[in-house]
Amino acid sequence: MTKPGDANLKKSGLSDAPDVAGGRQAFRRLVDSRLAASLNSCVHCGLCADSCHYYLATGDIKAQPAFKVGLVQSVFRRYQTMPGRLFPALTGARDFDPTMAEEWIDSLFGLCSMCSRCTLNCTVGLDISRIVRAGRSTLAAMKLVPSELQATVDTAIQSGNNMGITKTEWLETAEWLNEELQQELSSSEPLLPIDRPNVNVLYAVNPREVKFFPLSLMAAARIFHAAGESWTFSADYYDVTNYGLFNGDNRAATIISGRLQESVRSLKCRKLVLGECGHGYVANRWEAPEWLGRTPEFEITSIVQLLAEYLRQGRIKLDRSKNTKRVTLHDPCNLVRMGGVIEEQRFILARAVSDFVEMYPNRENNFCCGGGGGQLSMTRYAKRRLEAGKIKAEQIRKTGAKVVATPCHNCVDQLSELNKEYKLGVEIKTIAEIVSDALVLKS
Amino acid sequence: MPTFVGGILYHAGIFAAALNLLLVVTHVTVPPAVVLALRSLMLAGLVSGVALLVKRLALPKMRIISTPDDIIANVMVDLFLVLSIATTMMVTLEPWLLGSTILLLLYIPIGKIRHCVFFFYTRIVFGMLFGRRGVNPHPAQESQRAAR
Repeated sequence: MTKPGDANLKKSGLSDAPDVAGGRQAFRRLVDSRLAASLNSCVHCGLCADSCHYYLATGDIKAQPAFKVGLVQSVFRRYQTMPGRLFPALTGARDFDPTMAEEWIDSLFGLCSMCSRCTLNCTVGLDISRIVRAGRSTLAAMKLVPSELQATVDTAIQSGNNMGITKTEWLETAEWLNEELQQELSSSEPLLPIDRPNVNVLYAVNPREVKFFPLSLMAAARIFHAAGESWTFSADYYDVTNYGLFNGDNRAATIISGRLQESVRSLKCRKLVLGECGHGYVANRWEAPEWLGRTPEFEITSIVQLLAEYLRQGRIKLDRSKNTKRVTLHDPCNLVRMGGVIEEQRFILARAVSDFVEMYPNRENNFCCGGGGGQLSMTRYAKRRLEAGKIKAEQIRKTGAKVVATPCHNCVDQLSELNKEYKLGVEIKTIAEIVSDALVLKS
Repeated sequence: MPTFVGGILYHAGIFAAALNLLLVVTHVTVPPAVVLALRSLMLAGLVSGVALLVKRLALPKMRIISTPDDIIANVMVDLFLVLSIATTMMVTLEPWLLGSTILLLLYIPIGKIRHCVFFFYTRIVFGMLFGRRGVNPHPAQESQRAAR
C-alpha cells in the first residue's frame, strides 16, 4: 500500500519503501537518559533560532533548531512517553511514517551542519547536536542517509580513506613530496617517513591533502623537520576524517577511528597527532573512546596544539615579517566549540603573521562556515550550504583581511567556495601552511 | 534579547509565586515590604508570561514550533500567577490559588512544565560536555585570554 511521502521518497531516490518500523526500533535503542532528558526539556522558546546560520541567512522558519528538535521530539513523544501515546495532539506527538522520515532527511541532513552553536546557546542546555545525530543514526539504520554522504563512509570503510586513494597512489605521492622536500632542504634523510616504528608521532591527515593539497603535507613535514620531531605516516590508515560522525552510523565510526588507533599501536608510536580537521579531532579525540569503549593508552592531540607546543618550547622559530598580509581566523566548529582547541591557533598566528585581526563573533561563539555535518559531501544541498555561508562571508568581509586562516580542510573547501560565491578576494590557508611560510630554518 | 529577559522575569515571577504559596500554606506572615517585592516579581512574571504567549501566537516562527501543550502550560502558569498576586491582596482567594496549584502539579508530568525537573539534568550534562572538553568555562583559557 502506498503511504503518504512514498512518492517523494522514490523521487529523491533514497528508498522505495522505508522501514519505518525498523526506524522506530532503532530510535528507541538510541534514546538513553541523556537524550531522553534533552527531548523532555525543550520548551520551544525559539531562542536558538538566532544562533543558527541557516535560519539567519535564509529566514526559513523550518531551519531554526527548535523545529529540527521538534521533529525528533514529536516521534519520541509518540512512542516513548505516556502523554504522547494518550494525547498525541496535545503534546505534538506524531507518527514515524514515510512522510516523517522524509521530513527528517530534509531537515536533519539538509538543514544542519551540526555546528552545535545552538547547543551552546540553548537556554535549557539541550544537546541539540546529539538530538540531530540521533535522528541521523535512525535514518542510517533505515539506510536513508543521502547517498553521497553514505558513499564517503563506505569508501572509507572499503579503502581505508574517504577519497578512495589506493595505497600505491599514496606511497607514490609521499615519495614524490619527500624528494621535493629533500631537494629543498638539502637533506638525504626521509622527510616524509611511512610506517617508521617506535617514533613519537603518528600523523593523520585529511586525504584531500594527498589528492588536492600536497603542499599542505609538505608544510607539515617541513615543520616536523625543523622541530626535530620523530614521526611517521601510516601506509594503510592515515585518514583523520570520520564521516561516521555525520551519517550517524556508530558501527562505521567505530571501525574508522579504531583503525587509526590500531595503527598507533602497531607502529608503537607515543602519540596520535590529528591533522587540521575539525570533525576528525572531535571524532578521534572525544567520541572514539565512547564508540570503542576504551580510553586509549596514548595521547591524542591536534597538530595545532603540537605547533603551539613547539613554539613554547622554542623547537621552531617563526619570522612574522614573512607573512605581511592581513590575516583573520575562522574557528572550525568541531575543533573549537566541540573540541576545546580555542587559544592555540591564536597563539601561533600571533607569532606567525604581522597583521592579525579577529572576526566577530569568534572562538566558541563563532558562526559555522556551512561546510560541516557532511554538507560538503551532500551535493544535493549545495545551494543551501552556500546560502547559509553568507553569514561567514560577511564576517570575513568586515575584517578587511586578505588571508583567512583555518585549521580544518573541510572549512578550507567551504571557505574557498564562499570566496568565489561572494567575491571575497581572499586566500584560504591552513595554520600549518602559514607557519611553514614563516618558518626560520637553520642553515 | 527581549524574549530572553522576558523568560528570566517569567521564571523569577514563578519562583516568587512558589515562595508566596509556601507562605500561604504555612500561614507565615512576612513584612509588607517582602509582600510588595513578591507581588512586583509576580506581576513582572505575569506580564512576561502573557507577552511570551502573545509572541508565540503572533509570530509564524513561533507558531511552527508550538503545540497545544505550549499554550495550555503558559495559560495555567499565568492563572497561577494571577491568583498568587490576587491572594496577596485578598486572602479569601486562597482556596482558588490552592486549586490552581493542584491543577498545575497534576499537569507537570503531562506537559512541558516537566522541564522543571529535567532542566537540572540537562544543565549538568551540558556542563559535563563543554566543561570536560575545556570549552565553557575553562579557567586556564580565561587566564590565557586575559594574558593576551
